[in-house]
Amino acid sequence: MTTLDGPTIFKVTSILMIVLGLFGFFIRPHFIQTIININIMAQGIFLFFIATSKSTSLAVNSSVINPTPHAMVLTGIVVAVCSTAFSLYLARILYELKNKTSLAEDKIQKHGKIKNRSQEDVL
Amino acid sequence: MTVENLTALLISVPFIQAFIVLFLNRNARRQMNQFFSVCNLSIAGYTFYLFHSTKINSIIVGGWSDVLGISLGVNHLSSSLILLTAVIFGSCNFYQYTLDKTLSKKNSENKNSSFWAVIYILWASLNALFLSRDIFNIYITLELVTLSAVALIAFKKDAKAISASIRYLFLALVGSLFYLFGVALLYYKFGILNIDLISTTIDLGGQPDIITYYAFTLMIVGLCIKTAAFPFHFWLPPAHANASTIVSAILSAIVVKASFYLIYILIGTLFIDTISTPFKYFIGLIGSISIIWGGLMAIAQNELKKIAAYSTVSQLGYLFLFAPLLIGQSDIPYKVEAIVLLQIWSHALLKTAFFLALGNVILISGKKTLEAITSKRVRTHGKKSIMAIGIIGIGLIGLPPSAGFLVKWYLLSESMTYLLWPFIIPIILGSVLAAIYIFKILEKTITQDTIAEDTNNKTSDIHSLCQWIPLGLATLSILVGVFSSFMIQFGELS
Repeated sequence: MTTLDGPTIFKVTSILMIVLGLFGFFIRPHFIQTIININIMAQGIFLFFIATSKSTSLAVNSSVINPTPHAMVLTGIVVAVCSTAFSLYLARILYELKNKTSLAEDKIQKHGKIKNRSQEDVL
Repeated sequence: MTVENLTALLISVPFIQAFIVLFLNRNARRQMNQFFSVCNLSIAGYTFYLFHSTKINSIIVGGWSDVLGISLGVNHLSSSLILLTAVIFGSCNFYQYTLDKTLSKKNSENKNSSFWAVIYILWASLNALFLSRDIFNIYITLELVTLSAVALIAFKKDAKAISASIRYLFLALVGSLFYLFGVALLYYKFGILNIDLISTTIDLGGQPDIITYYAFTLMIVGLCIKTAAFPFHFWLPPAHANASTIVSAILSAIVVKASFYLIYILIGTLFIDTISTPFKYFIGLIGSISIIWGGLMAIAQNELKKIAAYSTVSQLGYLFLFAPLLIGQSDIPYKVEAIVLLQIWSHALLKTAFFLALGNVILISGKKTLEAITSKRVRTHGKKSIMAIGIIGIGLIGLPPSAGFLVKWYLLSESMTYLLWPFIIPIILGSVLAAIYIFKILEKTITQDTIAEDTNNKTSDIHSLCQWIPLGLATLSILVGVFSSFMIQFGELS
């Protein structure tokens, strides 16, 4: 990492996004926050694919960018959108059934009920 | 008909069936479900037969070169697993058919057309996962399997099932992302996605470098989350215990084995030289803890389906013990592959039978806890289900004629040959724990007096065929043990 060129900056950013998403996944219990954290992690991985697409080029001329990672990222985005929609739907059903916005135990839930309500309204 | 055409049929036929089943009404759907199962079962059976007679294994879809194209392949393990998938799905399908005969429309209303569509999508994605020889394509099939499995749990619309499915979904998504990051690192390093090509490149490169190690660790951790290996096992019991009967059976029997199959092929073909001896011990340790912890938790449970779910955690632990047997080997010996295959077959059949038998007991008695066994109705109407649980006990404990016995015997003898003394204790202790939780169920049939009959209307009569299916599957798992020399010979030949 002697020179700070474009791909290097993007690679570092992508690793940071993955770590941040994972960290957030473990410390934030609210459904919406969890779903967003999983998405941040996914976007970090997609960025890594794009950032490395120049160095994985199969062509002799290294200025040609390899299109295969872009195709993989497109597929990955479709999967990410589907799983996000599905988890939002499940979270919504649980909220309607039990008035819960996280997987925390019921004891904690009782204290935080009003707080959760207001959060839900804002969202 | 060649193997090439059959691989295309194995994936596309269940997908097409999923769309057809959406447009059928209730009666037509019940008839067509049986027809579809027979279709898929015969395709899977023919693939198995054709693979073992011709040994053609790998094709590239669409005529691309092997660097760009997506490759599908049949090998000894995957042809056998595809057949197993078809057997399990077929019997669960038939069980639901006989159950619907006697249950009122109200009881089976959540098994609507979209439920069956998701079942067929799960079937197709499992077939695709077993056939894929391309690490990115495996990611896609892995996500498909996860999403459809979670959807099947969530079809039972009560709060417990929904929260269990959300926990499963979140952990499985993170697991998939770990795997995907591993794929990204491998692609960055090698520029190819084909498993066989990467494995030869790693072989040629001599000492594997740090990026390969990172990719390997990320992929294995991601897949361990999905296989419910010890520190990540906590999502499995609520998810499998709160789903409806046939969904629990399918999830426990096949879906967790799919991610284990990936761990096995990653360690066995892709990373056989990357993986160091301490890591092999570590995977064996994870398996050992799973065996003991799952067994202990199963004993502590009072809910019938929770016992079966924790027993799954325990039995999955035995699969992970293959890794220490690879120490000092540069190739997977056929004996290890035979052990893994036998354990997958025996556990899948036993666990399907276990969940279906428990489903019968719960339906007959109207209760979900251990008390259900002591109910008078179970004593009069549910004898065959109790007998099935007895036979399942033989398999889970590992008493002689069963496949479970052979797996444990092989594991013990191999551990002694390679001087792996630490792994002998969990292998034996797992059997003892299995004996305790099985007899905890069975002793209720003998020792306790029947309790007074409840007057609630939750109890229902079921068709006698419903009771024969778990009994038949349990017997089949014993027969797999009796005729196992046949399966092991297949491994030796390939």
